[in-house]
Amino acid sequence: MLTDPAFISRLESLYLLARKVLGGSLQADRQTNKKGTGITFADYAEYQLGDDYRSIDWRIYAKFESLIIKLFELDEDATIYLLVDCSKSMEQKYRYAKELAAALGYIALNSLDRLCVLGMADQLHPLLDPCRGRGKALEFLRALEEAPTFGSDTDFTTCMREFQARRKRKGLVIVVSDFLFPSGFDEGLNFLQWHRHEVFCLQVQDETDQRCDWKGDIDLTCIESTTHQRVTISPAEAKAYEAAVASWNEDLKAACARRGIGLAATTPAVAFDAVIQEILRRGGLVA
Amino acid sequence: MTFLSPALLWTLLALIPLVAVYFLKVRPRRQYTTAYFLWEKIFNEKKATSLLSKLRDLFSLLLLLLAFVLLAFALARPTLDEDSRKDLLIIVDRSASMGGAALEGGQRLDVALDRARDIARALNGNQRAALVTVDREVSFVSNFTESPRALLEAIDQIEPSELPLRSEALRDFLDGRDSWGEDLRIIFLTDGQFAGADGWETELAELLLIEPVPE
Repeated sequence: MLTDPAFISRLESLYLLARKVLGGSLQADRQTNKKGTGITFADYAEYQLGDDYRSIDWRIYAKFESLIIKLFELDEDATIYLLVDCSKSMEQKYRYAKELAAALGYIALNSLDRLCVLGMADQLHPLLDPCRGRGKALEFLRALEEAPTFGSDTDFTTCMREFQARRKRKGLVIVVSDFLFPSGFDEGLNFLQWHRHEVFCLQVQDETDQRCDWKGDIDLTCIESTTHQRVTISPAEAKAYEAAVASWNEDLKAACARRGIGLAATTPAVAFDAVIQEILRRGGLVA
Repeated sequence: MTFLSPALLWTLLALIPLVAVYFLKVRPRRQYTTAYFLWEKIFNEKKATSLLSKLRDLFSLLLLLLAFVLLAFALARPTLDEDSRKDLLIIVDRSASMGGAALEGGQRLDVALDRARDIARALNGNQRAALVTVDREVSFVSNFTESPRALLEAIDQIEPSELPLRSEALRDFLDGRDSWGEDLRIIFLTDGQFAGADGWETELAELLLIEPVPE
């Protein structure tokens, strides 16, 4: 269970590692050009009617008799969007995907980043409204634990359109999925980038996705749409399928590399902490 | 070609349910996949060779049917024996001498009747046989029949005679066989204890001797 104390202590270890390696944030660099009311001095500007008179630099006024105000860096918290694939194709790997999402979300909440969790399949379902702070960690883990699989298909492009319509605020979008989308992944990834989100893909596939051990006459059925057809699978077809999956994954890798999107591919055979540790040691959720 | 057990050819009727079972074969097991769209691409590319796979299925059905037909024919025991097409005339010597002991044990007439029964049971469905007894005169016990059972019943009715065998009566009877117009095989079951037995012409009838106990 994700709310199990033993599991939470593993998450805590990962957060401590993140704090040590990345200074506590999943994003390596979140400086912004916006000016605001932070504490770090950024620039000077001429006083205009309506500006805060407390920002006036009186020493400059004493010297030059000119009203000049100080500008400071705007401290803006990062928004982390966790998009977890909740389609039926993830059923075998669902627990593992949830563990990975739990680890990333836990680090984000403890780093005081804003976290928003959505489940995606043929449409988007909110799992956790945007929240912040360590106190929300248990609520987040509970929401993730109880999230069921849904939908009769996985339409990544439609989900990304819906995501943009609902969440206009820029942020870091982490997609946890097997990326076996019938309509492809290119358009969805493009959509996220056009809207200036930073994207990181965490691909989870297991042996049943990558290998085919079936032989002979079978009734091949789609786990999501239940479409089926009777086929005969010989060693040639099994090999062709394995090659097709490998090619699909290579295409995803190339698409991410082209767009500067970070990608980590894993299987349930690897412990989730090992995957997160590797990501952190590589410098966080970067390409 | 004829069949020794033609009744077993009825097993060919089992070809009908065999073909039905082949086409209505057990529903293949269901397997779920997370990448159905990839499988669709693979099988669309393979559509060109689907004709080959259909022919392969038909070929295996034809092989199965051929094996079954050959098995049915084998069980029916086909034979190319020429003699088996000929009708049979069994002549049983029931004269007084057949009341004596046979070398192989028992009465000579009983031994002759046992041999006649063996011949009757070996009849195939296309062969007819008739039964005739001879002592002083020749008598028809059974006319030509294809039924082994009718012949066996006729054999059971044969009683020993006190009269000696008159070979002239037999020869006269056999001389008339050309007028029967049949391709006939004649078997004469006898102990050979009659006048003219030594110079018996085998083209008249095949002699099946019941060896008497030497005196």
